[in-house]
Amino acid sequence: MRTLRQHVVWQLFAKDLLQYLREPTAAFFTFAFPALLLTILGGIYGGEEMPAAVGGFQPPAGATVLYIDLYFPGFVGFIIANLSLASIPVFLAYQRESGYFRAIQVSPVSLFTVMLVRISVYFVTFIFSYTFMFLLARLTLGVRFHGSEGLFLLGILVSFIALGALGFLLGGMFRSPQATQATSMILFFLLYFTSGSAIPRWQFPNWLHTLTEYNPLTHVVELLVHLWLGAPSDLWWQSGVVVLGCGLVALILVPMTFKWEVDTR
Amino acid sequence: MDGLEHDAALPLRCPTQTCAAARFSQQGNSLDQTVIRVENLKKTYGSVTAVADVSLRVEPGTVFGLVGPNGAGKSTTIECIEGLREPTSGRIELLGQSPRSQRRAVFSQVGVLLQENELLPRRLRVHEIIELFRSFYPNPLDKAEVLANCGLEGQERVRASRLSGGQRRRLALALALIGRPRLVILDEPTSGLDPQARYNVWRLLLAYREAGGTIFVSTHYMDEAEEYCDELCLLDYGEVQIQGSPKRLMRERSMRVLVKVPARPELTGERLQALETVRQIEHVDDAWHVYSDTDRVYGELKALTGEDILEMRPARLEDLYLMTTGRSYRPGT
Repeated sequence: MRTLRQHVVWQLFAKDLLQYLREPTAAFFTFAFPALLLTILGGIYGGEEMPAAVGGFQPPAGATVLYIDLYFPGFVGFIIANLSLASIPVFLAYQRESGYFRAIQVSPVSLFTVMLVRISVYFVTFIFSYTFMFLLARLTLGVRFHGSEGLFLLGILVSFIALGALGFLLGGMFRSPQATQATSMILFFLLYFTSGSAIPRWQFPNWLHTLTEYNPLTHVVELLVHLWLGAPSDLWWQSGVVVLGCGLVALILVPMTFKWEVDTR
Repeated sequence: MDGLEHDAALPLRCPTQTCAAARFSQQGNSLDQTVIRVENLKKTYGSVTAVADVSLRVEPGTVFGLVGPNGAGKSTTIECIEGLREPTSGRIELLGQSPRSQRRAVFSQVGVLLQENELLPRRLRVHEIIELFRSFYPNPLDKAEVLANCGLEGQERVRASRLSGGQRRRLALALALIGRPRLVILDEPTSGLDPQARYNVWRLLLAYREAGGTIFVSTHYMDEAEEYCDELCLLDYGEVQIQGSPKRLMRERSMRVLVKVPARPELTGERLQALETVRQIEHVDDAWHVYSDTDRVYGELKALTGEDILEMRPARLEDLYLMTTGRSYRPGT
């Protein structure tokens, strides 16, 4: 027998998930677009064997590592960024404009519960997307995991929280959904193409390589690739700290900047 | 004893064949408590004063109407009552509690219909939205009752985005009543509805009041305010201009009949007011609107003006409204 609170949480979760899955753009960017990218970008060099060390990444001693093993964890960073920076802000902005948050304020349900449920929905969506992409990469490109499952899961969680907080920051910052959509899309594609997830950073010119050190998604990608390959901690701890730091700053700023309603006054 | 326990014993009358009042019977008002109490509400935005000084009390089991022109401070007053805006000064209580600091306790007993029509989740179907809102309350109405209340039986599987504006409004109203609230705050509930829908909405609301519920409603439709409101508050320039029952307000001003007299240079206001049966006059465009509490005014005016026929009709609340607020557009509205 569920309590009223559990019932509310379940209903909010189920209905939020339904709404998300019924949004054609969100479904495209969560499943179809990543699958397309994985097939094309992963398929170009994915089946080739990785040399001893490339771009600061090292394969585990004695193991045969394919390029897809290097590409796929960075691609996971793309999935998280896609959800956090492209979907979350726009969905939040449209809900604010529709007056949904105002409606919640005059109901017995707390906004905090609504937001927690929303984050859970995004995480579950990510799990679905990740599982689908992993199976696709495993079956078609032969991707293999070389690290510690626990550490990789932790890396995913930290990355999800950090980029998710950035997404909430963007979603609560602007007055109109149009401004939110334009800003978040520009930011997402800028961060994605310079992170090393789409194009390996070791192929960048020096100035761009240096500049992209300031891209938080670069550190998400590097953290996840190192953890996927089972690299020693001295290779990834700095990226871990940067990701965690970005997340903390965003988490502090969200309550200070988030607009619950469109105030026309 | 709290309100919930009181209400099981509330005597119910059944105004319609479907006994609509019984739908709300499990939670009505405790009879000894003022439902809404607003004392000296003031709200400013920077140098702009939206609400200067508003005080009002809403008693249980009544329909209280808030009317006023756009920009009068109506929306700000309602938003302060709903706890969505913090008053600059003054005190607000709903069912004896603060709508801001005791939000959850208040809104488990108060249903709200906001002015926005687009806040329903557009990608959810009607039955899914009802399931979601039912989960917010411990003892909600059945799904079938909610559908009957909004007249959307047979359209359970239609997405909110496919509903017409009127259907969405009706659904939103039914959702405001879903938790068997003791009080509902309705911001222009019949805005954009056709006459049948307006009739059915008010039939539903009156059944809710019959069951002991209290209604606080804002509207621009003066005919609705006149017919359905037990108490009325006309707000303008952020202050209460007139307050009382519509019938009493009209009676106090001797506004029973209105005769329209074409304006002529020699027909001055002083001459009209000198007539025995004339109580109030107003110059509107090219005519005088003459109000009286007796039909005899018609004969007096005919004799004074020499006109064969003058237009006469019952005075309406809208006449009082326009006389109080003026007829010109306000700058910025």
